[in-house]
Amino acid sequence: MSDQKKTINPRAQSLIDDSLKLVYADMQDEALPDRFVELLSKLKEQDGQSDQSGDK
Amino acid sequence: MMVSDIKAADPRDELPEHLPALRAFALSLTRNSATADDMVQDTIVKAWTNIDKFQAGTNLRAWLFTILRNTFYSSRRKLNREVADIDGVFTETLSVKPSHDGRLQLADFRKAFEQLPDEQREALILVGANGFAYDEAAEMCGVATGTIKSRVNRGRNRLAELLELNDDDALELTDSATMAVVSSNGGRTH
Repeated sequence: MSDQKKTINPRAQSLIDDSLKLVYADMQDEALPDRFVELLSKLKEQDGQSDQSGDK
Repeated sequence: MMVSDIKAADPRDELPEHLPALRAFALSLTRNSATADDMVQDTIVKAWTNIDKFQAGTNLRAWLFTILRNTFYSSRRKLNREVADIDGVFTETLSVKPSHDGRLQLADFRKAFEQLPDEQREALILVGANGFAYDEAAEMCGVATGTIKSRVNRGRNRLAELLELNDDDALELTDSATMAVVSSNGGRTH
C-alpha cells in the first residue's frame, strides 16, 4: 500500500492535527525580536526619503 | 472627495500582522531561532522591495510564506546540507519512547515533528497549522496538489509511527504544557 493511501485512524489523526496547531500557536505567541519593527521603520523611512528626493 | 484623494491601501502596512506567523513558519523550517530570524528579516526586505510584484486582492500571507520558503530552500541548496538545530529550539533528537501512556505530551510531539523531512514539515505546517487549502500550498511550493496531499499524509503517518499512536490506545492530549497553551489561547487552535 502506498504512503498516500495508507491512513491512520481518525482519532490519532485528530490528535496529531490538534498537537500541530498547538505547537504552531505556541511559536506564534513567542515575542518577536525588536529588529523586525526597527527594520520596517527603516525601510519606511528610506522610502520617504526617496519619495522626497523624487519630488524635487 | 476627489478621485486623486483616494489612495490605494499599501499592502506593506499589513506586514507587521503577518510577522508572528511568518516567524513560526521560519522556525518550523529551520528549527533554529537565529536562522529563522535572519530568514524573516530577508523576507521582509524582499517583500518590501518587490511589493510591486504582489497582486492586490490576493493572499499576502501566502505570498510572504512563498518568499520565505524560497529563501530557505535556496539557502539549503547553497549549504548542501540540512540547517542544524544549533540552539535546540525544537529539542534534542528523539531518543526515548514517547511517554504518552494514553496521553500525548506536547514535548514528545515537538521531538517527533522535528524528525520529519523538511518537505513534510512544511506541508503539515501550511495545511494543518495555517489552514491553507491543498492547492494553495501546492502553488506556494511549486508542486502538484497531489504531491502536497502525499506529503501531508506521509507526515501524519510518520508522526503516528514515532509517537506510537496505535489503534488500541485511548489517547488524550492533556499534559500540563499542552493545557497551558490551550488555556492561554482560550481554546483557540488557529
